[in-house]
Amino acid sequence: MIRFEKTLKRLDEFCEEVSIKYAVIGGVAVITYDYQRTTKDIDITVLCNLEELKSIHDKFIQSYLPVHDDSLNFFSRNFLLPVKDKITDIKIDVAAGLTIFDDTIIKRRIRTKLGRAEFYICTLEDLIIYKLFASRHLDLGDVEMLLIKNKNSLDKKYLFESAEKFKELEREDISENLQKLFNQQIL
Amino acid sequence: MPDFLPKASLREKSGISILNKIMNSDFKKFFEPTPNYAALRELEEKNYHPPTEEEIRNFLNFWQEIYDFWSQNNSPFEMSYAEEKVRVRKALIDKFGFRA
Repeated sequence: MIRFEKTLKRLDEFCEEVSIKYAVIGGVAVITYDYQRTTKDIDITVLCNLEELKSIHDKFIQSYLPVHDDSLNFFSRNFLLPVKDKITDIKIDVAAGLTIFDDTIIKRRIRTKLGRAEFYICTLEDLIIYKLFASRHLDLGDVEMLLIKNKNSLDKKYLFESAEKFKELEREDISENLQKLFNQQIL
Repeated sequence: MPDFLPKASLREKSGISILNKIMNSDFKKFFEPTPNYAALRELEEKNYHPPTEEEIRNFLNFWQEIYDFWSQNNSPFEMSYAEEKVRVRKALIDKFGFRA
């Protein structure tokens, strides 16, 4: 088992133990959906509300090393808690899932395996929407490859309907980019 | 015709027009300046299979190796860099607001 597998396994056991609902997003999710690229850390979103930020922080800090000195302040201001696994030294970025979008991601999460580690992951469609929302070059490249690698297992209806909803939030680029990448792949 | 080009008879003798004829046929595709993505995708799809257990294991080992090299050669600042992730997180909250 490599250190990333160990970290994912330990993270899953920890969240189970302290009753935190989470889903792996970001690079590790991309890798799990068959696009083999490297990443430097593990990104997760945890379901919580504003009042629970301190309790989520404290639970993580009991078992993980904070990357920043004033970690609670950093988490409260940025809604992101970077921590390190005490044994493997791999960084985990814990995002506070405070929005309805995070709620959807975690409700739809699925159990998966990467190597010998078992954990919860966001669905492929939610990962694509999340990446289109982030919209960096790296994210759009990931979406392009995810569409190629998973074209037969993709829920296209859900994907396009979700992208469409972002128009109301003045993010027309999400459905436009999705359409563009789809046309490019001739899916 | 631009005067820097050889006359027709000269081109014929020098073999340029023969080359053009060849280039207009099948050979031309080898010199296509833009990659043929459709053909590439078709080829990829034909040969695609989900990664095997062994391929996944090889990839995981490779990933760990790259990560170790990266972490030994980067500063702690680089290791803790999270600005882009914070931007996305705040943009999500800006668009959706806090869940009730």
